Amino acid sequence: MRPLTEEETQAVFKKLAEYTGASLKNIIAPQEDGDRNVFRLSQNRVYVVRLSMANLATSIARDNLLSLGTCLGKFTKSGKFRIHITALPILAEHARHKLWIRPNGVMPFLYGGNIVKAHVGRFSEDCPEHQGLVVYTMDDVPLGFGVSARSTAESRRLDPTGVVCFRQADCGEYLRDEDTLFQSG
Amino acid sequence: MAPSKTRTIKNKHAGPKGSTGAAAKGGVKRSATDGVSKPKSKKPKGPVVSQQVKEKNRALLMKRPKKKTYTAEELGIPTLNMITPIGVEKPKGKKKGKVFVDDKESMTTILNLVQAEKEGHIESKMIKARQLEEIREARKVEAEKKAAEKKSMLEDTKESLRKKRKRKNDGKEDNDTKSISLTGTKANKASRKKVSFA
Amino acid sequence: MGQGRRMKRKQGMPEALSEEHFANLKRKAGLPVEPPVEKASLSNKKRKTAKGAAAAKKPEPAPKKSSAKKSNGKAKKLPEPEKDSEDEEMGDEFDLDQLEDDASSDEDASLGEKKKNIWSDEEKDSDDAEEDDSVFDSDDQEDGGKKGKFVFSDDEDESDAEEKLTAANIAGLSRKLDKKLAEDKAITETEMQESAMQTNIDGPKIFGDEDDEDDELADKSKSLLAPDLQLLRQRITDTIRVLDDFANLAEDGRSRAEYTAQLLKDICAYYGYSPYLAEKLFNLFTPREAFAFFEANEMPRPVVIRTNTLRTHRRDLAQALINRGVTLEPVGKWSKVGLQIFEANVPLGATPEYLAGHYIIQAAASFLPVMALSPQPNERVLDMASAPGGKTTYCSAMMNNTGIVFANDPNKERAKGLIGNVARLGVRNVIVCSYDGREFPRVMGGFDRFIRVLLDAPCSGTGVISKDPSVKTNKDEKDFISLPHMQKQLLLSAIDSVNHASETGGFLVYSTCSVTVEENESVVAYALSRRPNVKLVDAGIPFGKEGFTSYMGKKFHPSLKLTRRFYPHAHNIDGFYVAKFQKIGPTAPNAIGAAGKKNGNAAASGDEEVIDKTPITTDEDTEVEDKSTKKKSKGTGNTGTEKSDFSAFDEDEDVKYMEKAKKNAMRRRGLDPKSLKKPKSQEKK
Repeated sequence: MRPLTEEETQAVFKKLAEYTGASLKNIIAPQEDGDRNVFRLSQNRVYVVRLSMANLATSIARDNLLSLGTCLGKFTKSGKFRIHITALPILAEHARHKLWIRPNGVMPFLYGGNIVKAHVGRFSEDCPEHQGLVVYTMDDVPLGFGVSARSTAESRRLDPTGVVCFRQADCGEYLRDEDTLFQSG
Repeated sequence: MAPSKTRTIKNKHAGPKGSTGAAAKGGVKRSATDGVSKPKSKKPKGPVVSQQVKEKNRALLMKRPKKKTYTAEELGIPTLNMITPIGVEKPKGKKKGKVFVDDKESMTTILNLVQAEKEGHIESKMIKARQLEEIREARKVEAEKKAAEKKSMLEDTKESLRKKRKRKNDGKEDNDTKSISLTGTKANKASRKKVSFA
Repeated sequence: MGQGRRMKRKQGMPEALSEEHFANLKRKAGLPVEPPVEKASLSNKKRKTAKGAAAAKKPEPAPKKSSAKKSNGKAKKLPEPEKDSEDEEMGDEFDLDQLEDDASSDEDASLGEKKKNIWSDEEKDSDDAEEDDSVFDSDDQEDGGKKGKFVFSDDEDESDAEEKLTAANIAGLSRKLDKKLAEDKAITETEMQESAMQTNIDGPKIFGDEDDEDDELADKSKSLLAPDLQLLRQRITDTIRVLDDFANLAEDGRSRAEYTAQLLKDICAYYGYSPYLAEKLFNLFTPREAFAFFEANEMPRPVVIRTNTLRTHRRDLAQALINRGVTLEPVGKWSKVGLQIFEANVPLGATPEYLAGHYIIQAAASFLPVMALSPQPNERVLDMASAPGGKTTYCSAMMNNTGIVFANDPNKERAKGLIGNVARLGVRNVIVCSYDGREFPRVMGGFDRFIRVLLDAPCSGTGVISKDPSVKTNKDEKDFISLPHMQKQLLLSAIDSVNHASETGGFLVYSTCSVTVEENESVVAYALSRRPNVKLVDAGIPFGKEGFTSYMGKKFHPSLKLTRRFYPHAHNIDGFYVAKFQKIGPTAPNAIGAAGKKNGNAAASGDEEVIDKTPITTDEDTEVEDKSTKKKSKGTGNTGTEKSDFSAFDEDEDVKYMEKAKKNAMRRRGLDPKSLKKPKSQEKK
């Protein structure tokens, strides 16, 4: 386990900033009890974790440490950062553009499908094309995130079967990809 | 639990480290004691000698190894055989390895940079989208205008044709249109039927 | 013990364990179970004309009342009356007018299967219930009584949603009533049988005329012939009856042991247990209770989910699930986060709510150790064997995502599921690691590093046979030596990890999903003897049976009464054991290595040596030893010098061993060992 280097930090922030607005800085802001969140890299996975926890976790040997705090995603072999569904709570908290899907669209999305116009309940105004989106149910339960296929204005004109949002991650992955999503040591 | 106590060293490798050879030597010495071969190498020389040497001489003994250190140039090692390729200067006095970012300030700086960039991206995207939208709007308006023109032209020709045909019963026409506008086309049809049957 | 997440989805509809099962069995056997329908409706009419629907609280007509009373009275004669009543109070939320319920539930029987519909009708037009005919009348009354009772216990905001829940949970309610009804019937049934038996002068014939007939029967039953199973069952019940009243019913010349042996044999044949395990489990109970236990192991426990309070509230979750066609109700008054699932049209492990982390499927039993531990916000907690994460995430939820939970599991594959659950439930204060639990005080660099420790030890699983029937046959004597041995080691490591000095904590909970004494009381007693700086405290769980203070001749410390046992037949949760310790003194720097606490490695090495001393012997031996050492240590512990406890105790033992060794050495050399002893002992004095 180690902190991130500058490049790595940048890569992580860039990815997070795809989905989040200005409030992202709150995740590294000091908390009221004097603690703050830091990033930690363990076996290619990036975790955001309270500093007090990170310091305690140094007691655990590398091979035995499987997870701490919230996992954001992992660095690929080529040095790119891949964000995981486990980062959803953080993205949902600070989301810039949001998309709400109707009850009939929830299961198709959770099974890994893209979001079609017919399933969209609400959509943030002013969302450009190919911009990160956080996907919610109509009662504001975050389900996953993706990338807008069209801008808000364009998707208004779309026919009901047209894709509005390309799925990137959804909660269904907890079932589908349990084997690959988490570190096994 | 005392989170307030927890803090990490800010960028511990960033600052200038011990620059002289003395520090380097110290490092070497320490590693030697840690090594497996410690008892063999150290026993005969170091401690035995130092115990026998008196206080005054000890300082001398400490000094001596300093002279023995040679820089790479002094030794005249052929540069071609180095591990580091020629032209690549290894920064002196700096430890190898990664430089971590773990303090709040630098993280915030990076975040701000990234966000500004992202903001710009999004902004430009939005502007682009808006421009595209404007163009589209304009086109739409134009198309509508054209369609309207066409339609009006068609209407005109229709009208002119109708006028040509119905020029004979000019006086009746006014009445007719009035009844149509009042009763609608259906009534008109019915009335026509009546006429045909009558 | 949680189960695999995927497996859970396949679970069928859970059934609350009740006397209903026995009623069913009787039905199978061709005995009459349903009471005559006419009577009930007739009495309904009578009441209707007399008082109308409004008279809900008034006493019942005479015949009904007497029958209700009778059944109540009979209930007291049953083997586990207090359990039953407790159960009802806990889970069913029946109120004071129990008697009335009993009576009216009889009437409900007359409605049979249609009841569900009728009930929902009743909900809609309860206003004009008075105009309804007599059949509806009883329901109306029932309904009036129920509305108040059927309440979610987390009462943040009551009123309007409550009615919806009631409406949606009609099925659950009616099931409950069914259960009660069946219970009553079973009681009367058994009563009848018993009275019939008592008039039978000879008593049941258990042993055949020739002894080999038994074997024949057993052989046949092994080949799984259905009618023989029926016979076998009959014989089991007969034998139990004889054992209940041995003086009157036993055949002449047959000893109690013979009956018991026969019963065990039958149980092995009927349920498929290995003889060793059957005997072990049988010895925990009275014959009748043992039979109930074995029966309960044949039926699945109800599926229970735990609300993730980090994400939602139980009422909201219940509403959401009800909208998806799930029939559920609160698991009992003892838990504010549990929901018991009766029927689900959707896979519970794949609903959007599940995937969004609003709940976790978790056996009711595994709520208990966490409730006993009751971690507080901002504490540092260790869960030593945490997969699949039900308990860990419950801890985190209780701590509201503050503090730190170390979730350890030695098995990395299982830890994956643990991480998945942790992530899905949005838990942020967990560090997942994978060590052998016995390494633990060392991992953190020394003793006393945790405010609370939870040890849900790996065990034989004799409490979860309904979930994993392979336990019946694949556990042998060796397992019951090696498992307790490991559990003892784990428990000592756990104790050494607890920080006694913390203001809020210093607690440790030891639990297993096993019911055997070897894995529970023995282990706890051993820990008490080895670590005089811990004591047992009340677990704070409102139900469950007390732990054994003596078992088959072994005597345990009286404080073992404070531990809790849970049984499938008694509480309708998995068999479980929970013991809560409080640490009252620091872990001693070890007797052998005088290393301080600071030096983690040295301390650990010392610790390991202690562990190595754990004798791998039969349990009798350890027990005897335990008793003696415990007395000693307790004595010194009470004087208040806790720090010297260890050294004094260990020196004593050392002296003994040293003397023995010296004697042996003398003997080997051909000298008389006694010659050495006398002067030495004098010296000592």
